[in-house]
Amino acid sequence: MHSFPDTWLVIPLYNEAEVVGDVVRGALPTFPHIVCVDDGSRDGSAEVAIAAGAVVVQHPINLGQGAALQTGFDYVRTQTDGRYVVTFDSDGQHRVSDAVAMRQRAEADDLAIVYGSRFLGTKAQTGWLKALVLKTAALVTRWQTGLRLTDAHNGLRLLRRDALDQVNLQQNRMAHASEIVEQLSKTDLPWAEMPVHIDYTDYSRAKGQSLFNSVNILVELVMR
Amino acid sequence: MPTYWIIKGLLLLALALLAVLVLRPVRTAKHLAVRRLGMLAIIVFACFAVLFPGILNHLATFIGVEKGINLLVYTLVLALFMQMASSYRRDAEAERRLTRLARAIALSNVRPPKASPADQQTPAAPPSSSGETPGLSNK
Repeated sequence: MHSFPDTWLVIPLYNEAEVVGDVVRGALPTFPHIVCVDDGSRDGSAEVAIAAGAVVVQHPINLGQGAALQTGFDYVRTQTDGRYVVTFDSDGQHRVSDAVAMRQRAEADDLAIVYGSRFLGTKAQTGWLKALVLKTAALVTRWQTGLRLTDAHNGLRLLRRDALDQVNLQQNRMAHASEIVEQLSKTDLPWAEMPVHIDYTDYSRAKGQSLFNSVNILVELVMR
Repeated sequence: MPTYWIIKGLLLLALALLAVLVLRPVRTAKHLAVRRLGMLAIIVFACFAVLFPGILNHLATFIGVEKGINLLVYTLVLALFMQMASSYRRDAEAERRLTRLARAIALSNVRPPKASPADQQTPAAPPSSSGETPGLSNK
């Protein structure tokens, strides 16, 4: 299998010891450079990720997913010479093959930003209520930024180094997803949206972050 | 009832002031001085209200509120909202500083992977801090 040593996977990590090892091991043959940003986990997630072969940057306290992403970005920017960054989930809902497709498309079409979307094509298997919330979020993002995205809250994205340099997330929690789109839209760098699969496993369903998270996303979209 | 417009105007003015306070960036010394003066004025007024209870009623009827106690409630509600707004702003600022601190600590203690199956070299931080950051792991 082809491997991409110039691309770093950034994986925010919070209490996912059960699954993060498999996620890292599954991606490592394709993406040999992985940084997990441990956001103050209390279940030994960091040790699992290190043992699986990822670099780990560790927040001393829990700050939120947005803060973890920005720390990962800062790490790649200041301590590596990676050309691309892919943001990836720690609970196994993203597919490595989708990340590969994004990376290849970015190189082929000279794109600085590639957004993943679960609503392009027919790959989504979300409930109608969650889909409604996510589409509302996408609509609000479109009003705010002018970008015609179909899924503004997808965790799988690719940034080239020049785009990465212009991101500085202030929203520590879920609203970072809109914030990153907003900041990237101001760069005027070439971008595209690509269909990706989201595998809602029993594990991620059991974590039950879907609907409550949607409420938080909506509130944080308005209250900024 | 034309007098009602006075209390309405005052309440709206207070709310507008509140909005400005919420949106304005913190200006340290002046901001603090204004707050302290405001607090002092409230205390002085409270002293007068204790000494001459009639004052509150007179003031209330003068600006269009039925009773002094109603005026007190209005003022307290506004003060409560102002307090909430300013503590929210303080919290947000504290969180920003905390985030910067935590990020700086995290980035100066990068933990490289344990020898993994792939023969990779990681352009990570100098391995001086490798695996010896027990003070930072949250156990």
